[in-house]
Amino acid sequence: MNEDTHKPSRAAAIWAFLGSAQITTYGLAFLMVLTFWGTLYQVENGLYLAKERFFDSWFFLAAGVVPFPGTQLVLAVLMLNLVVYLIRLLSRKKLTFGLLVIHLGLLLMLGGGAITHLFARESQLTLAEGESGSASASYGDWEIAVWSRDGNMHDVMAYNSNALKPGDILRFDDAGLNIRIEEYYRNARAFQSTTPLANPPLSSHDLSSLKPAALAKEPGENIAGAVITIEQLNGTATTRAILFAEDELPKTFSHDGKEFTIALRRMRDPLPFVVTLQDFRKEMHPGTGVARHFSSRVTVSSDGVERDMVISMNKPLRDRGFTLYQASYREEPGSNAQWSTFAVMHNYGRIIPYLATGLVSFGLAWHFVVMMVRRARRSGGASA
Amino acid sequence: MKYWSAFSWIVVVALGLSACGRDSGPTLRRYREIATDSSIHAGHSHGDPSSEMAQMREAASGMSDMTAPGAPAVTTANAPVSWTTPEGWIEQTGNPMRIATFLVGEEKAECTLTAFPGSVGGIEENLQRWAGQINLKVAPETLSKFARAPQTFKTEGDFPCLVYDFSTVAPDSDPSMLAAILSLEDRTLFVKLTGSRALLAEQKEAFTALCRSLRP
Repeated sequence: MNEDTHKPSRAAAIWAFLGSAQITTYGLAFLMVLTFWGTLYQVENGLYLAKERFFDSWFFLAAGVVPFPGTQLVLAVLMLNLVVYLIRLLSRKKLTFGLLVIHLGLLLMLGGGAITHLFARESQLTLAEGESGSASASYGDWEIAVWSRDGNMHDVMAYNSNALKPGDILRFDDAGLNIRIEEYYRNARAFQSTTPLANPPLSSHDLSSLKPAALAKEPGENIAGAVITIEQLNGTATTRAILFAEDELPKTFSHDGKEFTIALRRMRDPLPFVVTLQDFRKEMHPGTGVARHFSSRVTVSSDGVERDMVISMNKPLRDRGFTLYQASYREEPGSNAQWSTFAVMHNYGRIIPYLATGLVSFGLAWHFVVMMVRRARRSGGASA
Repeated sequence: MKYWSAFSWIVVVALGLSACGRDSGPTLRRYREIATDSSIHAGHSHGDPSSEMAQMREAASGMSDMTAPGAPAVTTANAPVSWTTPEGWIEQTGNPMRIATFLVGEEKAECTLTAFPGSVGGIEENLQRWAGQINLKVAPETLSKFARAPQTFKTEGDFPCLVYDFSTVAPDSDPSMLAAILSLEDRTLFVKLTGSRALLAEQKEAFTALCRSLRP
């Protein structure tokens, strides 16, 4: 460094700092702290809350007071650091190919992580033997859905309801309906009135009110509930209703000759194929209730083509970005009825970590060979 | 100082990115799905996307017991046991390990019905653990005596049931607990009601009735 004779401008200094190894070091140190802290937090509070607080956040308050960077912020800063470093590397006169490939690989890895974080979806599909399904259900996200029936299909219109708040209006123009949110709780408890009400809200189980409950440790344990007003656009009729726990309203609404049904339910993720469960089989460890092996024989149909497949614990079904894993099963006591549950992963960035690791490995190997050759030449020259 | 300036700049960019990532409001999605005719109102829907949903509906339908005392028994698909919810108790959602939860009385005390594979430790170990849950210290010899003197009966489903009332071993303890252990062939069922001493005294009969109603 020759700072006395050639002092860089303020902008250049900031630019250099952004691509510096200090940021990388501090970023990695923060990641280590977050991982350790988040793991300890998970023991008491469960995976979901730990993920939300430490890994899905930009900031969180340590001890309720001190702001601490969340993993998203640290990764965003590391990504910026890497991009700036790469730009600076490219602007060098003498470019080191191996280093460039290594850093491109790392950038790809971070980008893949961002794609997975932003766009990957996890859900599940439960089918009875002989039953077909074309949409999986989210573990933790809910939707307010309105649908009409078309043959053996439902045409569904739905809004993700996770961020709903009182006063929000959901427009379902095709159904001639507006739904106004009066109350919405991500985890609710429902109550019936012990005395008859003058104008009871419409609900499947004669519910009279909802109350919020603390969010459960696991998202699947939360039961969303909403008090809504349904406004029919073809008239002035309004209906007050309570939606709770996957129940359809016990009344349909007509518009343009179609009947529409309303429900608050786990958010559906439509699949690009139809899965039919043909047979479910399980083997138990002798004398225990623990499954040793279970598998599902399914038929996968899409575009008029049918394929018979077996999905088992270590043999998932992969098709068009979707992966279906054998997750669990359920049986009806006193009958032969069986259900099979598949965990459904939808991840566009699934291949990216493999590509990134390949790139980094290639870059490291290249750099290693170049350095070896250079060193050999140097030592050869010195000995000559 | 220049590092701090750079750092604040990074923070501003990060917050900007964060703001861009926020939802601008709910957006309408449209899709088609196969209509599952297994009625959503049915007790056990074949169209369930998850067993939890079946339990959620069971929970909701179980609530009707509140206004219809002695209403039909509730069965969860995950648990091969049925029961009759006592009058005035509100049933809540279960999960794979917790078959059902009931809210009892005005103080909404929790009564849980859980199932675990196998015998899950011995009776004394469980009683010791539960005593700890209500901050009760019981001498080992007292506990051993307590473990050997439960109220015993067969349930409607012929399950052997042992009921332990912690107020008999610690009459002044508040809160207290009523607990029942039912050893089935492949698993053990536990029914536990924790609440104030007064509530437990008032609800003991209903608790016993719930235990007696357990059947396959």
